Amino acid sequence: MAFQTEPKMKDTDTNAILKASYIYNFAKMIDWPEAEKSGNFIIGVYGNSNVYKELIKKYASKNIGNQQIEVKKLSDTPSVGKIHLLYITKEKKGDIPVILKSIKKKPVLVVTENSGSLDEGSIINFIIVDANLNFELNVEQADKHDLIVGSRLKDLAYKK
Amino acid sequence: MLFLTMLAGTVFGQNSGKLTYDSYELYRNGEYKKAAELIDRAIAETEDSISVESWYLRAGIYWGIFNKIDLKSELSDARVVSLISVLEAVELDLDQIYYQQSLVLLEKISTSYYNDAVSATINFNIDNPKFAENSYLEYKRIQKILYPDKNFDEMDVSFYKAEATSFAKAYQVDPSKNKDLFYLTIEALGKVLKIDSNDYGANYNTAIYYYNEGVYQIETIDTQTDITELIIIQKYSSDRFQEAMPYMLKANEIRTREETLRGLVGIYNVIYDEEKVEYYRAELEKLKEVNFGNENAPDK
Repeated sequence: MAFQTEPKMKDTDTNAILKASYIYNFAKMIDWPEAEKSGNFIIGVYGNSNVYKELIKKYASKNIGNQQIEVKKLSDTPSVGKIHLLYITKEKKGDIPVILKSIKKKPVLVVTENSGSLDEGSIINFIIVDANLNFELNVEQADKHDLIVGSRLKDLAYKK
Repeated sequence: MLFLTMLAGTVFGQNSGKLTYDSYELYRNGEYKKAAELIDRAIAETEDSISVESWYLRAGIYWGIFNKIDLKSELSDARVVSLISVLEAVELDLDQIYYQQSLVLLEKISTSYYNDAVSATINFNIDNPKFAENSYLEYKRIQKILYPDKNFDEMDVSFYKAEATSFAKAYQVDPSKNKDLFYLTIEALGKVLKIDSNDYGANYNTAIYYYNEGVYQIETIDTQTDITELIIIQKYSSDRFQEAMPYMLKANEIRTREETLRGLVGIYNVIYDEEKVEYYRAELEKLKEVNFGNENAPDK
């Protein structure tokens, strides 16, 4: 009885799938001010990441409330413009202070993936806990940006 | 024709009753079904229940039905009756008159089960996933009667690897529907590793199947997946990735190859251990340099 060919290891970027799904769920579980509830719901991705491709592939045709999602890849100059949710990849962590300064108190949900980013002004930060992707949340920062975080999201956020 | 030859010297009616004799005549004429009816009656209703010849004839008749009428169907009960009958004949055959011929028949029955096992691993039936293994175990059971001291380890390893492959192929057609087959795959490879924990292929494949199962589940995440479900899926996948780890480490320990190093990079990557990812990536690059230009490199 011959042993058939060996199986191939899948090369899917699971991290991108998980992060894109988290981002979509964050958008659904946070409330933006009324003034931001017209036009498209814009998700900006700053930095190279498969998360952008994943967001385009699965979520670009979906809605947040009545707003259709529009996914934008931001250029090297982090000119934010009108945006609802901004995901900043790890490689761009050096630009975070500048970006946050340009946003000031605008209702933009900033999602990062660097330890210490919450202290810099990020609202949600991806972290790794026990080999799993998790997230920490800065509710005070969310308040400053006029974003209302749902209680379920607060409950699920990692707490030190 | 086996039985015509081996029963040629037997005078039915001397050691057996008329029913057995008539059954034998029908059998000689190729009327297996009618022969079976008579021999069953002879054994059930007369003193032929303790006749070696009758049991032996019954084994032959049912073996004929299995081959000629049921056309070696894996579902044929005739083979089972033939096996039961020949084993009974062997037990009653204190003078070992039919002993050698009985062994020949047992070998044939055993081989037929082995053929079924092989066939079932190639033409896998998802509705009866354990058919191949049950056939293989029946083959082994008979072989152990024939060769009590035979060591089956090597054959077991070969069979369970083939079985694992057939489970895995069927599972991969639709991982969300066929999760049971994932567990059967792991179980089959576990049987190989129980025999030989240093089997490279079984360790490597177990790692890959665990890893891929974790990936499959993450691939099911879609726009309908809420955050609670997302966390559950992630935890499930993370557990599979962690289960893959020791097997890939073991495979790499047995034989460091590009595929094991790639495997370790992949697994550590999905559990977010960046330090280990960098370490094994560097090891992979080193090995690639060694292998570069050497098409026959054993560790490619």
